Amino acid sequence: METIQGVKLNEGERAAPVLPRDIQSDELVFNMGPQHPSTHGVLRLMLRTDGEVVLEAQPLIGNLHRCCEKILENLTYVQGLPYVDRMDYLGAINMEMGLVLPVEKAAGVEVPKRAQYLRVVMCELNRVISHLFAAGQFGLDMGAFTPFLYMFREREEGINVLNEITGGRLLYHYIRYGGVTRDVPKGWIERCLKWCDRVDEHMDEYNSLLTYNHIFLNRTCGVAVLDKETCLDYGVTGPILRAAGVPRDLRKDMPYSCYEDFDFDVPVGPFEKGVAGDSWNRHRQRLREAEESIKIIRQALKNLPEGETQHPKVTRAWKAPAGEAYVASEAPRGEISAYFVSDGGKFPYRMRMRGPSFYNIAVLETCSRGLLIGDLIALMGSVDITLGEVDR
Amino acid sequence: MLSFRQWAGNVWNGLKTTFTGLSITVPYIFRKPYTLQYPEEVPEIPTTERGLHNFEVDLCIACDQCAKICPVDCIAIEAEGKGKFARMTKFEIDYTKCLFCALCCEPCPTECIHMGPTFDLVGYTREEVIINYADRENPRTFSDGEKLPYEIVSFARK
Amino acid sequence: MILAEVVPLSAKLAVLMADFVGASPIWIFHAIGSLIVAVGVLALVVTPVGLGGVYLERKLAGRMQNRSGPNRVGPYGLLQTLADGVKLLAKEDIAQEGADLPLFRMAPYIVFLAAFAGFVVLPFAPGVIAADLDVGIFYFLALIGLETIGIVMAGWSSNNKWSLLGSMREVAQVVSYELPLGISAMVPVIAAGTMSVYGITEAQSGHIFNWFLLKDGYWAIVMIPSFLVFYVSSLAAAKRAPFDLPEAESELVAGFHTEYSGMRFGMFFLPEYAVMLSLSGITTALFLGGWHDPFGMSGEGGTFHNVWWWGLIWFFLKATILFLSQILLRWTLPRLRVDQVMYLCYKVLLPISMVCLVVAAAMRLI
Repeated sequence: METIQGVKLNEGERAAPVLPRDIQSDELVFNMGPQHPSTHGVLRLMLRTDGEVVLEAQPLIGNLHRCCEKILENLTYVQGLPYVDRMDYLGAINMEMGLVLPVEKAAGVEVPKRAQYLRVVMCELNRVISHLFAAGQFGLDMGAFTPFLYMFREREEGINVLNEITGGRLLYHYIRYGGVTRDVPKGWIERCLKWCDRVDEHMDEYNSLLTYNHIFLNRTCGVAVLDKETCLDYGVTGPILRAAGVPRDLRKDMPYSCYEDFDFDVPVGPFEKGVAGDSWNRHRQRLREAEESIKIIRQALKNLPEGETQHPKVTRAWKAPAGEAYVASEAPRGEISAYFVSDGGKFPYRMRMRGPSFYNIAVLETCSRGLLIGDLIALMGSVDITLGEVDR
Repeated sequence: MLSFRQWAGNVWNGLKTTFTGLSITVPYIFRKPYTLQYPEEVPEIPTTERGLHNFEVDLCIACDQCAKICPVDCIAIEAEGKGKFARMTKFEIDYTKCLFCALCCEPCPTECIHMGPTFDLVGYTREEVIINYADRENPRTFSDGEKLPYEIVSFARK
Repeated sequence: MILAEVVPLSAKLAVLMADFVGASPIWIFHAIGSLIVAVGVLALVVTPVGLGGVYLERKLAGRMQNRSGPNRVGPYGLLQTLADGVKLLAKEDIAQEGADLPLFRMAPYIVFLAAFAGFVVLPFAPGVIAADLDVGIFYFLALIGLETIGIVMAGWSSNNKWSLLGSMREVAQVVSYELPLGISAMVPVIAAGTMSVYGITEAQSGHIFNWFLLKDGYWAIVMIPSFLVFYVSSLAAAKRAPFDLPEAESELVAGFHTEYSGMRFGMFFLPEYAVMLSLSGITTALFLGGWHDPFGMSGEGGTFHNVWWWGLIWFFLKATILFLSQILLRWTLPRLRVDQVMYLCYKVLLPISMVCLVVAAAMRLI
């Protein structure tokens, strides 16, 4: 039986014919990840390269698969909620939002206004934190350690603000069917606004240290361009799509949870430098969106209505009546949505979730051809995937 | 092709942004560090923190509600007797499984289980992170009468 | 020259030993004497440079990033690097399967050797120089090239593709930075009329306007650009950010030393700081007046003329400032890409240094 480097081949398989070495330029096959420092978790990329030039990059996913959707179908409604936090652990509240909205729509639950505003505040806080993390991480991938830690400092403060109201630092379990877990504690609003000021204050620092640095601009401008068509073909959503010049933001296009009450812009690329959809614009898009989110937080906290934070009928033992619904919402990384079917039983009949990272990761394969390895890192860092949500 | 003007502009931009960067990072050398020296300086934990549970064994009536609602089945309860005369023999929380979702605190009729502020639990084996709160010989609980070292925030929902 | 008055320490030792033992060929004692001196220098120079450099870098990086840096082991964390060194010594020395063992084992020594041999031609103070070679600068540049050989060996023999890429990048980087580095070093050579580093330093004797950087005022037009070119190329030579491509952590895991562990890794790690300091030292000697203070006190007829400790203070002061600036830059800038390093070296640094060289030659003629 034939073998290649000690590995036995199956029947019918045959080793490739060996050409004389001097007439072929050797390609290298790299196994990038899951332990590679900049694959953001447990992503594994099989790279075929010619020296430094990437010929093919194939993402191999599934190392973190936990059957999230099936678990949700085997737990009661209230039990399922802490699980979705574990999908996109960097935008956990937005994941809860994605789960809760279709169920409420199918069941026809009207969420109290105050709860809706609180949901918006938490989602936007979480979005700022997530974008700060993504932007810092991208800087780290580009070799700039210091801005990463500066952004982490503000992220830490934001996590403390969230911790104070939700009780968790990363996995919040805050949003419930029909409302939210807890009303704002005393003095929390002031602390939250103070944090918003702090982020606004430091935004200049990040920009002049990292975003407009000459080396950083040269590394990212025009690198790994994901144009409009590719993005739309692959179902790419979120900041990546907007950086490519498509003004699609579900908060604006299909407002949910009172987003229509707030005045905010949807930043769309291209920005000052580079071309639409390159790595730099994706980075800039995130920082711009963080600024807009802070605007929303300020408005929501200013106009926070009085009232209940929980629908009185939706209790712990609540079951959704038979029905189905699909609602999409805007998570930090793109569209999170769920298709929910209920047969009126104790458990959801079907819960299918569409996560943004899973679709965004698919574009790596097309976009990475012909890049240098350093550019591939720029691509992965600026696409910003969370493997917990890709593998689910 | 770059014109000489563009070339010189690039060089100038490179130098300029480098010095802009330095003017941001260097002053930090003379500022106070942001970090906490963890074991000596304990971070401020909000009262809402969902840390390790605090369980008041004398209040518990072994109704099994918390074990039922737990999404991961990490609570194991055993009791002798029934109803009023129930006596806990085992109330074990398996922290290798626990999600810290605080769902167990909600249905409790006597409000005997809370989420505490303790966030660190370490052990060399898995058995060490399975805690029996009803162990009367070496109790981990705050029995009634003793004041809790922090304010309890009830996760119970009426 | 003052150097002639200083009898080499190894020769002194050899004579002492020969007296003590008696009949034996004297060259054996010379060899042993040189060995003892070498070991002594390594212990006295390597340890403080390596350990102090690592500590300084980590502390400064920490403070720049709003952290506190090492502060656990010893007062202000001063013994942290020592503790790390002990840890490295205690670790298992792993060689991975399929590695080319002789090359794999030898590579760290070559890097180590090349890094520390550079100190030989550094004129620390009047009379304090290990060997005043006629072609001191040439020797120094050659040693920097030698270090590359060690890195290529390490990357090649590791049987790891990331390491291979790392060493490929190192080679690509070497061929690009060596040209501007060498050419910009020629400008002070032209000004001084000698290639001996000691001679170049002596030619800058006097106050600050005798230093080559600001020599007689008008020399500054060539000296300042070539100083900048030399400085940037020396960053690339020390493999420091923004030129840390061979070990680019986020791209190549750890580049050429991915597969090294224990003290062999330490032998890549410590020389980095030695190279940084020796490059700062040579920059000081070439452009910043070496051991001369800015007030002219070490010049002809000054208070401290030919006082070795005065020179030592000023030399190390200047070298340390350059050393610190390298650290500050590393923790501020992102990393360049491979082709951008070449763009920078070939299209920016090389033309500038060549123009400087031609102008300097013309100025010398006039």
